[in-house]
Amino acid sequence: MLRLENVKKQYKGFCLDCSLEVKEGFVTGLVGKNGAGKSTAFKTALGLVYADSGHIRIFGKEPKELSSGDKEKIGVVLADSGFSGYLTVKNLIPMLDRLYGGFKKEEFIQKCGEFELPLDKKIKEFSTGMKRKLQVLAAISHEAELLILDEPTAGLDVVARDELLGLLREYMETEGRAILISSHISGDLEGFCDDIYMIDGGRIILHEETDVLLSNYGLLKMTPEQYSVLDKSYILRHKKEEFGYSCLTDQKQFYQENYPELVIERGSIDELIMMMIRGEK
Amino acid sequence: MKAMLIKDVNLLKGQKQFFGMLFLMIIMFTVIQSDPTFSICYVTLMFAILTLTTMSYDDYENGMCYLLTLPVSRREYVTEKYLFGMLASLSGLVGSSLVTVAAAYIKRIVYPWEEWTATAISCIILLSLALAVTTPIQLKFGSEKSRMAVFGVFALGSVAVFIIAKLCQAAGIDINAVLESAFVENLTTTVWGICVMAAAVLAVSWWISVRVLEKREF
Repeated sequence: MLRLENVKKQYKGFCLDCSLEVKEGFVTGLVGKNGAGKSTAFKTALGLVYADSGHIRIFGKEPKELSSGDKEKIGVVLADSGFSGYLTVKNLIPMLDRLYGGFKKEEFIQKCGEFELPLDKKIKEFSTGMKRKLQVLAAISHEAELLILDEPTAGLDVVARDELLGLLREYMETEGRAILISSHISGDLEGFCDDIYMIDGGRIILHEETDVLLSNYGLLKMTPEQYSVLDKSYILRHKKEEFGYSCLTDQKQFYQENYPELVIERGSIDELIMMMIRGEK
Repeated sequence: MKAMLIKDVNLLKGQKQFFGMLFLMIIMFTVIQSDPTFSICYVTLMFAILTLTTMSYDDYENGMCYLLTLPVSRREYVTEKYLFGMLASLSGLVGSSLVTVAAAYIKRIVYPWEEWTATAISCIILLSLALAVTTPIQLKFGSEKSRMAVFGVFALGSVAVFIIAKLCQAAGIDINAVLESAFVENLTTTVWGICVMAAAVLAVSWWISVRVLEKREF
């Protein structure tokens, strides 16, 4: 549904060099620290930023070739942008109705009520979380086939986050859909994404299915002596610690079987990110 | 495009105080100053400037970026702004004319039909030029920087007119005679000529605005 191939965008002091793919039926996550290039990747995919080189395809077309009909099949949430703050939700309804043939007006109004979004209040008076909720509700209100969601859970409390992810899960129950999502709360992605791309300094440094990431990847903790005799064939990154070394592996089972004395942790996505970024090869 | 027009009309609905103030000004200029022409021109140009306001609102907190992810092409966005500008200005022209004529009638000010026609044509030409100059600048520089840019363009325009006047004087051309010939002896041709030129300037401005927005990154 969406493919970025060797997409490069050069800024002063930053270069995006990114390849990723979002397949039909998949929820694909993009994780990385602030300034890693997540938003630039999203904007490049949407044609809001022009790539210097590489290929971008959404529904098999370049972003600039997308017709209004194609854009109707995309729902978007952007981290740093949204509906004009001078409009109210009530103002948006006729606009969305006109823009999207598949706009489900009644359901949208109902969901706004459920998420406590006032219809008559100007959007600029909404909190960050309320603005996010509104964007997500708008994105899923018109039978889109592809959702491109940059930090959709930012500013939300735990309950609202859970409700919103529930809505997205519900959205994915219909066949032929896909989601590309980024979040700085990796816990959101762990339980939601089918595969995860990790981006740092504009480059994709890891791509793995979430199940594999959680089952095969692990953090080994050991003393300097243990580290010196360790078979490092399956060590992706290592880092010096006060107690000795932390090592990231994608073959946890190998070390569990051959080095039973080592402390081996499952490793959350946050820890994997930290090791991938801060650890040495 | 209709969706964008709906959005802009809704954005203007939040400007009730501005419209109330304009209404009072029409009454004031017509009744106190006995100057219906000024009232109509002022209000029409103010309505043309509202187009810029809607662009500022679109740009508020980087909103334009999100707007362009909706099923609206950049070309459609620009076209809608020109269309909205013309529609808003013409609404201003009609509205201010009605209020002004009513106020003039009550105050027993003589306001001939010919004078209104001349005012309306002048307003349409002026608002076309205002839209043509300000729209691409606003799209290029955003709401903050565009104020200085618009000021610069009008300053340059004034300097250019001054230089042309001086050059004509140096070449022995009597500008007053030329203007008299154009607006008294050949009025119909001149008005049509100016209208065609205004339309051409608007078309060029639209083309530049589309290019500006198509090149813009967010």
